[in-house]
Amino acid sequence: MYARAASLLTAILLLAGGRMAAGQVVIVSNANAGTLTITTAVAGSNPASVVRSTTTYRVTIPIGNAPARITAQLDIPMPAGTTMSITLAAPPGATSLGPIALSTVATDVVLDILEGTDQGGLAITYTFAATAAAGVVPPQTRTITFEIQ
Amino acid sequence: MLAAFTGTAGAQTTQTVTFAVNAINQVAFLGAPSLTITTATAGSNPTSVTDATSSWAVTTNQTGSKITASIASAMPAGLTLSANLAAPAGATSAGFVALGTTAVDCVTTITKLAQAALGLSYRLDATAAAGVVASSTRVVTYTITGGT
Repeated sequence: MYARAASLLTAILLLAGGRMAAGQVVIVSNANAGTLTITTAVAGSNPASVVRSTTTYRVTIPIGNAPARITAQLDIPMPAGTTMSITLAAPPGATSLGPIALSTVATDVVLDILEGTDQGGLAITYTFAATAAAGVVPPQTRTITFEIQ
Repeated sequence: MLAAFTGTAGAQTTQTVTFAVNAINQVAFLGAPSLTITTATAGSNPTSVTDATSSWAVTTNQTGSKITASIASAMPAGLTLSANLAAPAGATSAGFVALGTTAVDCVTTITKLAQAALGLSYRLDATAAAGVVASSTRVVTYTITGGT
């Protein structure tokens, strides 16, 4: 009787655990995405945006997890008049929301990542834009935090 | 071959990105104006003509940029070619300025803006002493000089 109750309790706990974030992994191919420098413009238009897509990420959602999403956020706001946007390629079955302008508030970038997903080589694309009013911006760095939720 | 992944594996990871904006000063001009003096009021020099079919555009992310203009070869004696660039927001136009082989300021104090379809007028003045002048062309060179 006690053995059966213990078994049932274990099964319930495992089921509950399967709905949590246990074992979910997001990892980038390189901790440094590189440098984006705006250097030119078409006369009469704001400076030309630059795009960089040299890094990738891997996402793992073990079987038994609910569909997950990835959020991204900056550690420090961007300078006035500039925007750093990001696009994360979606693994099969998921949805990329990019390009998404990054801020210090966590924002969804990929939705509906299915259980059983274990996909690497997914492109991370940054787009850096600036208005003329932003002026000259000396080199500076931001840290982007990706999180599975 | 597997890509080399770095960072801490888990539900959260980070990546750094570096960015910068260099000094940018771009200017463009549209139009191929033509000016012909054909008449005069008796007792006065020939009547000046103006062409306002051209336009210009500018982008600068600096403070206090300016536009200068010059022509490669001098105008014939008794003829004056002038240009008048409309000022973008917050800048100052010098109005009609006579063009010569030495660059002259047309618009100054251009600061951190991107603006297109700005007016550009040319005017040709002649004295009676200039006589009849065969059709001739001048290329006007506009230069934007960055501020700070």
